[in-house]
Amino acid sequence: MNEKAAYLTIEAIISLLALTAIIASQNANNQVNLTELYQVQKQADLIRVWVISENLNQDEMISDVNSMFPEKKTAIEFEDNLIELNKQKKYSNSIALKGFYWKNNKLNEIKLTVFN
Amino acid sequence: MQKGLLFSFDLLFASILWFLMIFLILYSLNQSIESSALEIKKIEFQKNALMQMDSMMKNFDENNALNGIAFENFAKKRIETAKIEPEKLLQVKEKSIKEIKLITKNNSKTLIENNPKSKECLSLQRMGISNNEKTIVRIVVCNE
Repeated sequence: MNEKAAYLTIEAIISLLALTAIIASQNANNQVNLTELYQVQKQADLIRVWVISENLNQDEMISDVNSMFPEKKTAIEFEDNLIELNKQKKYSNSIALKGFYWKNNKLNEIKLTVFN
Repeated sequence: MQKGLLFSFDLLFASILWFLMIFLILYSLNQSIESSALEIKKIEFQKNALMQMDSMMKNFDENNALNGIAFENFAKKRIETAKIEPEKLLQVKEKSIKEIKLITKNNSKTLIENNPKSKECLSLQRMGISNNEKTIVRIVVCNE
């Protein structure tokens, strides 16, 4: 067998494999995930509902979070309070949403963080 | 003659490998295009369902409840944030809707229940205030 030709064939195979790998990796990166958008929408719902409710009841807030984000690690921060749910759960990223409301002539902030 | 025969084997071997590689590349491209098309269809369905649900929670439409169940304060001429009138969903006749359920602290009520043909369904839930009570609107929508 011609040695030169064999080397050329191996080179061609390697370059084609590299090309295939590049095409495949680009395809995988283009995947869109809408779960984060859905999560933000639900977080916004909760913040709006809490702000309208005026009297923030911690037990009710915990129950609301549990019904919208069951078994997810969550943190609620408002008026120097911090409520953490499912603390022990592991996570790789998080989305935090803030809302503002007037109470006793003061602008207050409420923050809801959901860990994924 | 002998040299020519050797060259032919070289060419044959190289050609087989080339054709095999080209076949594999085309096959994998075809597979990835097919899976991308399916994925795009799925994402489009999810996007439409999410946007429809969001629109429903934020707008007011007296003719089509799926476009808006938000509470419109006619005196103030504006939609009140987070306040909804989910009972309007009883009018919905869309066949792709499998289920519409209202969940409050002490109660759970199924407004609509259908049996669409499609098995690809998505369950979405949003929260609002209805009759001064926190209400979760859960909709199961299927891809027709």
